[in-house]
Amino acid sequence: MRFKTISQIIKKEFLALLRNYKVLVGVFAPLIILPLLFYGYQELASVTSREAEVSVSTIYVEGELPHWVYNSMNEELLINFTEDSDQADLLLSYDLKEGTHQFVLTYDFGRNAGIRAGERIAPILDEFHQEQQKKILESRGLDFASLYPAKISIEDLASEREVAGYSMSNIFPLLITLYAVLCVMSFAVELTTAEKEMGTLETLFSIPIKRVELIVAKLMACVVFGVLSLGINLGLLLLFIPKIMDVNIMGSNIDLVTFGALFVNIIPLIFIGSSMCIGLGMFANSYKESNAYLTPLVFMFMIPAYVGSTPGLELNLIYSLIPIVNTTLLMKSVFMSQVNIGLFALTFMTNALFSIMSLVFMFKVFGTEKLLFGSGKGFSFTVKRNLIPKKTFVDLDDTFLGLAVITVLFIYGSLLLPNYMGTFSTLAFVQYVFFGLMPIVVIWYLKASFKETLGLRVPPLKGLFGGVWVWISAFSLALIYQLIIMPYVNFVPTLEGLEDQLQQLSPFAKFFFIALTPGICEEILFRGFVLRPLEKKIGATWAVIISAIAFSLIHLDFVRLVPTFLLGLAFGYVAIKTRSIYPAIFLHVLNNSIAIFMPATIELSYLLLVPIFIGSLAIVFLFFEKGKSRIIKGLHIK
Amino acid sequence: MSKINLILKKELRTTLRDKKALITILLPILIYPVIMIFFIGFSSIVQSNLNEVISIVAIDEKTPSSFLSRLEDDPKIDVVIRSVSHEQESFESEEINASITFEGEQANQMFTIFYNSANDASQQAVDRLSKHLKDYNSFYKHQILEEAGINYEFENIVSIYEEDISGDIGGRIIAMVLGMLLPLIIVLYGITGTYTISSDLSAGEKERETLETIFSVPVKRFEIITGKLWACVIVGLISGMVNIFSLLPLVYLIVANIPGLNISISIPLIMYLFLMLIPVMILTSAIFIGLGFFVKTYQESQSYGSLLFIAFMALCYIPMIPNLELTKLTLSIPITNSMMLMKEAFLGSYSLLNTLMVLGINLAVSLLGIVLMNKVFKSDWVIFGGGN
Repeated sequence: MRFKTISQIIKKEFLALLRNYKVLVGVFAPLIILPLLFYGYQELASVTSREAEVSVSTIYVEGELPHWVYNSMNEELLINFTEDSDQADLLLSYDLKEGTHQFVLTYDFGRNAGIRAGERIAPILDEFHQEQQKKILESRGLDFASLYPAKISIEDLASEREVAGYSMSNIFPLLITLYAVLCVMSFAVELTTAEKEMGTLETLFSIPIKRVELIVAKLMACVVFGVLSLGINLGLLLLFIPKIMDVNIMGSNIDLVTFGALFVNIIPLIFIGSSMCIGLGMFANSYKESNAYLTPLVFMFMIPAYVGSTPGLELNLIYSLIPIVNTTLLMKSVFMSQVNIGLFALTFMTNALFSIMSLVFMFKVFGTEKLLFGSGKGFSFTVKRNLIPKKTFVDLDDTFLGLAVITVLFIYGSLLLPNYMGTFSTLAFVQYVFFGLMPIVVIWYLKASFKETLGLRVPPLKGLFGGVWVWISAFSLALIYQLIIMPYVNFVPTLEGLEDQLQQLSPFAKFFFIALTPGICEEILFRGFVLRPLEKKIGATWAVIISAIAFSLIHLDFVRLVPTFLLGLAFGYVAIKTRSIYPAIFLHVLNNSIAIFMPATIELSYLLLVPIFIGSLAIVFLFFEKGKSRIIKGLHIK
Repeated sequence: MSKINLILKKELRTTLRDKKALITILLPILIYPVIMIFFIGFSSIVQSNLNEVISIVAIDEKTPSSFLSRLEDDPKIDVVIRSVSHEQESFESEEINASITFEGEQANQMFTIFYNSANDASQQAVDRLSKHLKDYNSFYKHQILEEAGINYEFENIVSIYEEDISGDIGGRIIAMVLGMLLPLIIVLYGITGTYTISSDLSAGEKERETLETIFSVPVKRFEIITGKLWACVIVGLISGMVNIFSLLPLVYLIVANIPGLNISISIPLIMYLFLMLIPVMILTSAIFIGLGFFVKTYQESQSYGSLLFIAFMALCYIPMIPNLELTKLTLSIPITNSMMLMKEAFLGSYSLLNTLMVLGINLAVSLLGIVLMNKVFKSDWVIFGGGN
């Protein structure tokens, strides 16, 4: 790498970005307008609330009010009595029954006028209530003070600074984390897709420069611009904060060192954002396409950022290992002045590792000529079936689109259907229709080969045997994970309800609903429909990983996200190694059967699980990975 | 008319065939409910973990035993008894979540609770302690009243009930909240839909230089532009409506968890929302497309469009202002007025006069937009000009 060339390219990109008004307008103008709008909104809100405060409430009275109440209301300037019940904001009916003064306030809870009238009358009635009670007490020589022996006063020891930090810790970390990715997006697109669209990328490659140099320069330009715009963003935000809260408190809360620490921690995040955006930007052929690819990326950042800003959540060992979540939580702890150096370092390391991973992704994209200059094709779902040519595999975009549709249908189906058809019929229905039938229909419609797309081959017995060991290692690792998180999560909410209903089923029914059905249907979707086309297009490793991610996400269970992911990896690995779906189905059924029939009394311990895990992993390695060529040759069935 | 129809069909077909545009529009709509489910699940875990945490409370040794025994009986409170009171101690060490000092004698007891409001555990401890003190007080109150023989009289001298005119308080409040949120979501996503595809229909076409091709066929410019406008409006309406349907399961999920609550989102209500959405979509489409023809590239149109988008968003947020009433002023602001009426519709009140007025105003503003758009479109200088 020649740094002189890189710095020249950086300079070129800098000038190009600075000269590009449209990008700058898109990035900065909203930042100036938004606070202004916010301010205007607040002003407007205060005007309307002032108006509401002085508006008169009309009240229609039924029955003869006690004099004291009537007089107090009459003295209230903002309360008017009316004779017409239709015009009233509130109907107040009164009755004296068996020594009880009964007041009934009837008003519209959906409208401000009604609620306001209720709020104005309430203190008068409460005072009346107390007066009446006081009279009763006095008749026995008592008073309110003697009624309540204990006086309570509550004193808050938090300093103003702590309170301000606490209130800011809920929103600021979220904003800063989100800005980190949003800021770099437009720059990244400008540096990549725009260049691609204008056809200037070829020109750049024609000069004596290495690709690595070019991409490093682009990345640096993107990061620098990202940091700059983040800085300007925050600066603007700080400018407008005095309108909402006292800034002096904030100034004292963030000294230079903490600010530096925060900044250092944001940098890896910006690197992750930039490299992902540049990578995806290179993927896209047009500006429009890049929009489509970047939308999911924004969500990838948004979800963990929101999770991190859950009230009550604090940075700990586990959270510090999850990128983005950790940054959000770390910032929270900075605002509350509770920074832990160890967790800070861990957070930084994790994010640095992830930024390296996304850099690898970016370099991969840049190194692939086909991606850089290749062109996309049309959309195969809208084409009539008789126009579709026969093929071996379903196309990649159709796989993703199909998976997305199935996921959405599955989620809604499993939420809504139990109201109409019971838990277990729903379970069977969503499994067979969405997971089983739908992929088959798509494969049929697109005229792909069932045998190839689903992997319908008789597996070698050897492969099946090795598969069992793969499963044992994944299963034991999942149990180890469970042991680790047990102290932190004391119950698994989604399972508790199901457990009771399960008890009422016969063992055979249990096996059918919980083991056999998911075993077959989920495998058709994930280890067939999703895995095979992915394997063909992007290679086995990523195919297994992506299908396992989808598999774990679709279970919608936050606590068991990791165990399902591990099992997904295991099933995918076996399906790839044996080139057949059947072992995966067998293992899935086996896994679920054990999960339901394993007696709860079995005592799990690290001492038992860790050796099992290591042992089984060693067998798997010997079986599938060592002497690769021989086994694979043996498994290869034409 | 048939020519307009032809153009409309062509634009819709290209839009729907464009998988990428569909992803941009539909993905957020479909993904939000999923995020919400995860988020709700996750916060409930965090919350329940917090509820399980045991509060450690330092208690003054002078505290009456009748109160102390209450705390000791609570499995979620660990009591530490000590003689000296550390009023100004900080709870940062986290050894103690809150402390109580006690002064006075039987008839005049003075409890002071110290805590730190910036600490969740401390906040929780003080909540638990206050509840115990309240119970403690009411226990004595009942005892004293019972002894004096005036317990029943004291408790029942005055009764105050609140009732809603429809008789269902919860349903009414839910209707109000939904009336605030659903119109906002529908209109915002509708606008997002028009924003996303309008650039492609206008600036995108300009950039691809396919406008010249269209002009070469015997179709009037006005017909082209009307066809494009309708395509944009339809996509906006679809994305607004898809949104309602994708949110319904979530709404039902939340409602199902609150027993005794029922909301009715009736077909006439949805029809009404749809009706109010149409002029808004025409308005925003016309302006976005006009902008798209004015600028040169797709990217520029998106970039400047985002500013317009924010302006529209601001109008959408106005009805969220608390205490804002339906007045002549609010009825005359485009977009805002539609949403005010949608809000009214959720509360079950429909006014024909207001509806007509709002439709009229919004359509008039749209017409203005269309005329301007047409002007822009007719001028070759703007459409093909390389001027700056």
